[in-house]
Amino acid sequence: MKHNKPLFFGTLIIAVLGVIALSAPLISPYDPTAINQANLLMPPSGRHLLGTDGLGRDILSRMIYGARISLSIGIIAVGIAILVGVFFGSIAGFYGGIADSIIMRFVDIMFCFPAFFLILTVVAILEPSIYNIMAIIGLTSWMGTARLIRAEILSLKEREFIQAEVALGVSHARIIIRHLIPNAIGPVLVSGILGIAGAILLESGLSFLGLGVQPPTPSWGNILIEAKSTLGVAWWITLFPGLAILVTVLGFNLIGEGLKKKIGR
Amino acid sequence: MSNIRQQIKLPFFMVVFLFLISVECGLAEDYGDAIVVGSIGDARTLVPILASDSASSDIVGMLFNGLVKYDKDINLVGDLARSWEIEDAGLTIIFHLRDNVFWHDGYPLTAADVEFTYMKLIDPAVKTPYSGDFERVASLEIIDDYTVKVRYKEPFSPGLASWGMAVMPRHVLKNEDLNKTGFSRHPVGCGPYVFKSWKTQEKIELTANKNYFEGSPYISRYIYRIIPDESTLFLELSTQNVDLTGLTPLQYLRQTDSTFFKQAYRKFRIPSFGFTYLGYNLSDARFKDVRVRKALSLAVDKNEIIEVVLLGLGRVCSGPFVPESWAYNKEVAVDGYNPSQARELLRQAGWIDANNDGILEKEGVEFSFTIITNQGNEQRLKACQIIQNRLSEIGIKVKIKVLEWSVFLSEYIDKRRFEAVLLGWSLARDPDCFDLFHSSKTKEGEFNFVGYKNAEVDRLLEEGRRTFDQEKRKQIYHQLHKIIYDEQPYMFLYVPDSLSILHRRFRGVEPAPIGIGYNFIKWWVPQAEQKYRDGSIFK
Amino acid sequence: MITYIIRRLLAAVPLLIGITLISFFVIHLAPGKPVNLQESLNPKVSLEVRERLTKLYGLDRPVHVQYIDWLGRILRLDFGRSFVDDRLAVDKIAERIPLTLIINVVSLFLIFLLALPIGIRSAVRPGGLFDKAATVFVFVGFALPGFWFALLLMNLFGVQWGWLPVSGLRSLDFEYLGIGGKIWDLSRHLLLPVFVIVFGGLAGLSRYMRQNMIEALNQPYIYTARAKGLSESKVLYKHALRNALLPVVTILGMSVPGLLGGSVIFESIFALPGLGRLFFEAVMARDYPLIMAALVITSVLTLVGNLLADISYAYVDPRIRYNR
Repeated sequence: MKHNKPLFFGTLIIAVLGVIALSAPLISPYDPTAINQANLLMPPSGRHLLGTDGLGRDILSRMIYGARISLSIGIIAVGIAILVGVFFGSIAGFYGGIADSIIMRFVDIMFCFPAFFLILTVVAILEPSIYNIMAIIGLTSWMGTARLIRAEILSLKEREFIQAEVALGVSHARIIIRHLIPNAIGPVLVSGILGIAGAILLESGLSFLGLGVQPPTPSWGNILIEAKSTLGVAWWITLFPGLAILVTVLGFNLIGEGLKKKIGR
Repeated sequence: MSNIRQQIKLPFFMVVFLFLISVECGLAEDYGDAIVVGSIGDARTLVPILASDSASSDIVGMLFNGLVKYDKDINLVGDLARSWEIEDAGLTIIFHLRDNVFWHDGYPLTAADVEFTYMKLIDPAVKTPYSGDFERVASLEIIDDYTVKVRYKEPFSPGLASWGMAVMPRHVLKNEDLNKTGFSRHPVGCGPYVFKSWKTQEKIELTANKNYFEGSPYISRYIYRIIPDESTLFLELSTQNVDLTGLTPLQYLRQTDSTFFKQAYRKFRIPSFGFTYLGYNLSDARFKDVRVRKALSLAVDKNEIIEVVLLGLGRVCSGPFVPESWAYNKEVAVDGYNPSQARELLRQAGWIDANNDGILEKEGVEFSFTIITNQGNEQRLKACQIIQNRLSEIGIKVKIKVLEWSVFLSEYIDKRRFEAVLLGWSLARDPDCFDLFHSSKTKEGEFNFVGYKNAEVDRLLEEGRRTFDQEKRKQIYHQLHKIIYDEQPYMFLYVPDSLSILHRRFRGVEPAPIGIGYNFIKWWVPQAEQKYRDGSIFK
Repeated sequence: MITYIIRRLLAAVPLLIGITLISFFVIHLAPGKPVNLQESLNPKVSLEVRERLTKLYGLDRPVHVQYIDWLGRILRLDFGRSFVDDRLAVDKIAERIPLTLIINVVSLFLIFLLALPIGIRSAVRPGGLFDKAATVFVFVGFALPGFWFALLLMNLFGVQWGWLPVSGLRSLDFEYLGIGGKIWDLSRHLLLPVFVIVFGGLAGLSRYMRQNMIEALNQPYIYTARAKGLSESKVLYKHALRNALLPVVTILGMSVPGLLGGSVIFESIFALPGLGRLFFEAVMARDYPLIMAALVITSVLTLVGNLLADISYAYVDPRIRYNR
C-alpha cells in the first residue's frame, strides 16, 4: 500500500479522525456544551489546548465532538446518496427504454438545481436539524452515482453470464443485486469517498451560515460562526476548525485519488 | 436591536451618549460633510406613528418633530410648540405653535396638522401602537392656525410628554390609508433633515433642511447604512466607512484599543434606558402557569449572562424600569440562581421526568420550546444559548431560531406566532408602561404581544397615569414593579450599557444627562477634516 | 446546426417542467395539520409555515389544480410579493442578478484562463516538478473551505493590512466617481471574492485539463503530427489542445450550479448585494415567495447555461451534431 502514497496518507488521516470521533466521550477533556464564564476567549494554554470560545467552552472538546458530527453527517448523507443513486442507476441501466429516459431526465433536472439553493429552501421550510441536513444533502448528491452505476451496468449487461442468468429466468432484482452492482461498485466507492468530502464541506458551509447544525451541538462549521466577530482577537477560533475541515476533506480526497489509481481508471 | 417606545424625536443611538470633551472655542462652525450611521436593522416604515422599532425611529427622529421634546437635562421643552399653558389641574393643555415651521415641500405647519395627527392616532383602523396615550384625550380643538387646545377625560400625567409624538402633514396624508401609503417609503416631514432616498437593506439618505426653524444643521447629509451583521458592520468601521454605530462588549473592550481606533474614534459607554428580556407567549398553556415562569427564572443565572454576554458591561434587571428611574423599586430582589427550587416548582406544575431521559414531560409531551430572536445581534444569540444551556440542566429542551429583523417583527411578533422571544425594550422617560402590560394593548402590532392580563396591574397602570403627584406615582410604580416581577410575564435579563463609537472629526458634541444626540443639528466638522464634500470623498 | 439547436431546445422543455414540478413538491414539504395554537399543549411553530403557504399557494385545493395555477403564474414571471417589503419577487431578483452573473462569469473566465496553462504544463511533463507542485496546490484548493479562506483573507487584507475593502460593492461616494474611478472601485471590492472563488474552482478544472491533455497527447494523431516534423508547440496547441478543450466547455457549463450555490456564502461574507445574498436573506426571513422564485430562476439559469455550453460544444465539434 505504501507505494500508493495518496491512499496511504489519506487512510492515515481518516483513520485518526475516525478514532477521535468514535472515542469522543473518552478523550474529550471537557463537556463541549459547558458554558464557563471565567474562561471567555482564552488563547490556547495548558488547560485548554485549543483555547476557549466566547461562552467559555473548550474548543478542543467542541472540535472532537464536531468531528463526530461532521463525519456522521458526511457518511450518512453519502450513504443515502449512494442508495438512491444505485437504485435509480441500476434500474435505468438494466431496463433501459422508458425507465432509462425518465430516470436520466430526472437526473438532468436535479443537476440544474444549485445544491445550496435547494438545501437552503428545504431548511427554510423544515427548519434546520441534523437529520434534515443529512437527508437533504444525500438527496441532492445522488445523481453522479446514478450515472456511474448506469454506465457500468450498461456495459456489464451484455456480458454472457448476465445474459445467461436472464435467459434462465433469474429474478431481475437478484441479478442486479448479486452480480451487476458488486461489479460496478468500484467507481461508486470512489465517488462515495469524494462525496463524503463534499458533504462535509456543504455541512460546514450551512452551519457557518447558521442554518446547519444548531447550537449547542458543535460542528466545525458552527464554531467558525464566531470567527467573524472575533477577527483579530481570537485567532484560534478561526484557525483550528478551518484547518480541521481542510485536513479531513484532504484526507478523503487522497483516499479517493488512491482508490482511483488502484482501480485503474 | 430593541423595539422602541419613544415618542420623542431623538434617534435612539443618539439619545444615550455621554461624551467628555468640550466644544472648541472661538471657531465658527463649518457647514458640510456627511455622517454615516451604521445599523444592523433596516427601517420598516417612515410613517411616524407606525414606527415602533429603533431603526425606523432613528430616521423618523431626523425627519419629524413633535410639539415638545426633552432637553439635555431631561426636562420637557417646546419643540414645535413655542409655549404652552396647563389649566384645570392638568386636564387642559393649550399649545402655542411656532409660526415659522414649514414642511419640506414648502407648506406651513399649522394646528390642522396636529389635529390630523391626533385623529389618526386614535383611528382604530390605523395600526399604531401609540394610540393608548391619545385615547385619554377628550377633545382636541383648533383655536386658530397656531393654537391647539387639548382636553383630557381625566388627569393624565404622561400627557404632556406624549405630545413629543411626531406631527404628520395633513395636506399630504389626508386621503391616504396610513397602513399602506407610499409615504412610508417617501416621507415628507418638517424636521432638520429631508428625506432623499431609501434603498431597501442598503441605505437611507437624508439631506439637511436649510429652512429648518432652528437653523440649518451643519452636517449636510445623514446616511443610514444597513449592514445586517455586527462583524461586517465593525469591519466597515475599521475601514472608516461608518462614522457612528453601536459596539458589542467585545468590540468595545478589546477590538477598539489600537492606536488607529484611539486616534480616529471616540467611544462612549452609558447605562441604556431600556432592558432585554425573554418574553413568553402567555396564551401557550405551558407558560400560563406562573410556577413554570418562576421556575424558568430560577433556573437561569442572570449574572452569568451579564458576565458572558455583556462582559460585565450591564446590570441585572428586576422589572420594567431602569435602576436610575424614580419608579424603580429597590426592594425587589432578582431571583438568585436556584435550579433545585426550579425543578420543585416544575414538579408542582406537573412536569416530571417519567422516563429518565433527562427531559421533563407532562401528559406524555416533552417540555421543549423555541426561542426566536433577531438576526445580527450576537449578544442576544449568546444569551439564548446560555438560557438553552441552563434550562437543559433542569430538563427543558430549548431550540433557537434566528430571523431577519423586519419579518421577525411583522410576521412573528405582531402576529404572536412564537413560544418565547428574546427582545429588548427602549423605554420612554416617563415610567408609564401602560402599552407594555395593560390587558387592552394586545391587538396586532401593539406592544403587549405576550398577552399579559392582570386586573391589579391594569388598575395600577391606570392609576399611575391619572396622578400628577410624583410621590404618589412612585408608590404606585413601586408596587407595580413588585407584582410584575412576581408574575414574570417576562424573564427580565439585563439592562445593558449602551456602547457606541463616533468618528473624532465631529465637533460640537456635548455630554449631558440625556446623552449627546439632543443637539445633533449643532454638530459640525471643520472644513479641513470634512470627508464627504458635496457628495464626494475629499481625501 | 439549427436543427441541433432546435432539438436541444425541445429537449429542454421537459427539463423546465421537471424543475417546476420538483420546486412545487418542495413547497409542499411543510408539515403539520392545522391545529388551534391556543389549545395545543405543544404548539408546532411549523404551523405558521403551513398557514402562510396555504394562503400563498392555495394549498387547500386539489394538488393538480394548484400546480397548473402556479405554473401559469410563474410562466408570466409572477412569483408573488416578498414578505419583507411587499415588492414583486421577480423585481428583487432581477436587480440582483447582474452582479452575481458578473462575478460568476468573471470567475469562470479567470478559472478557465488559469487552469489551462496549469493543466497543459502538468500534462506536458507528468510527474515533473511543476506537475507535483500543481497537484499539491490543486488538492489543497479542493479541500479548502471557501468561506474559511475568505475569512483568513479578509482578516489579512482588510483588517491587518487595510489594502482592500472587505465588504460591500461600492464606496459611499461611488455615484460621484468618473467611469474610470467607478471601475477601479468595483474591482477593488470584487478582488477578494473573485480571488477566493477562482482559487477554489481552479483545482477541479486544471486537474481535468491535465487529464484531457494527457489523453489527447497519447492519441495516434499526435504521433503522426510529430512524425510529420511539426514543432512541439504546434503539436501542443494546434492539435492536442483543441481536442482536449472540448469537454472543458461542458465542465464549465456544469460548474454553474456550483458557482451559484457558492455565491450564497461568498456574497454573505463579503456583504455583496447579489442574488446569493438576497436568497440568504430570504431564507433568514422565511420569505417563501422570494425563496421559491430564486430556486426556480437559478435552476432555469443553469439550464440555459448548460444549453449554451452544449450548443458551443456542438458548434466546435461537428460529430456531436449528427449523433442521435
